[in-house]
Amino acid sequence: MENELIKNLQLGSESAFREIVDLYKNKVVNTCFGFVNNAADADDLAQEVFVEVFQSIHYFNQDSTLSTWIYRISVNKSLDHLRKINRKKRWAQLIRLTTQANEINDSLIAHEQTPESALEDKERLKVLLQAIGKLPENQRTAFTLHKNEDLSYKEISEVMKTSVSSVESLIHRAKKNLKESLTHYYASEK
Amino acid sequence: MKTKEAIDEQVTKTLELMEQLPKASADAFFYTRLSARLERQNEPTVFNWFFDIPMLKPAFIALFIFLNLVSLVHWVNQYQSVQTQPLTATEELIEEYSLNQTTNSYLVFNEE
Repeated sequence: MENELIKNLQLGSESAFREIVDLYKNKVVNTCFGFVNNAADADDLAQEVFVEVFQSIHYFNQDSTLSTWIYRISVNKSLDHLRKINRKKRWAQLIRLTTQANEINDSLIAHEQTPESALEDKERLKVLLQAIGKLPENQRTAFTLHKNEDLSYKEISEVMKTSVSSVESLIHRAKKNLKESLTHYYASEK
Repeated sequence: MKTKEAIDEQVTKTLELMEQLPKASADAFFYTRLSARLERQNEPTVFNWFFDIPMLKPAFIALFIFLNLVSLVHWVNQYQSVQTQPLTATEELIEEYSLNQTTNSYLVFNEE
């Protein structure tokens, strides 16, 4: 079925493209959101991903699955976006993180929480996202794909073009770094 | 001063939130926006010689700075030459008879 979809898309079929978008749009938006933590940016990046899928499908030689290829494009677009932000406006990223925390707060309040604990969770989530944002790119990629998209280590290794043991090591180091970063934050907090 | 236990508790509580990381999904109009974007990209673009040739911007800025420097050097030279110019005959006369100074001497009539 996937082969047929790819073949039709390579022939320029709009219905095949629509089907692929419907199949993968939530996965792509969620993956990008895991990196940028901003719904509008994630939506914009997801559109860029599908534009690239549409334009580059002729170069897709099926050495991996379509899903792996689309995840790879999503990760690359998200990392490029983050690099661009870092390069151009380092200070703007801080403002963005504040906005993210507000967005996330709304979704947390949806659970039955007291306003006090919701506020505490909002603060904690802000700290957690900042710590995730400080992780090196490869650790962050492995960690985000694992936590946000529930991808297996094997699937992550295919997206990142690395071995399963490397992915295990990356996720282990990511967790260790997160713990250290949080410990440092709470120890220095007044 | 925080105890190690208190810090560890905070860290554990924060790490527990990882399981609650919010998920995002595409809205109902995602495909509509995407097809509009694709159509926009397929439209023929008008070539703008200044913005579409990347080398022109830095070259233009360099030329702008160069012209400003030339103007500045020219202005400084001109100013210095004005300062050191010899006095003209009229100016010499004004200087000699102190015509450019105001005097406070008054004529007094002898009333006797």
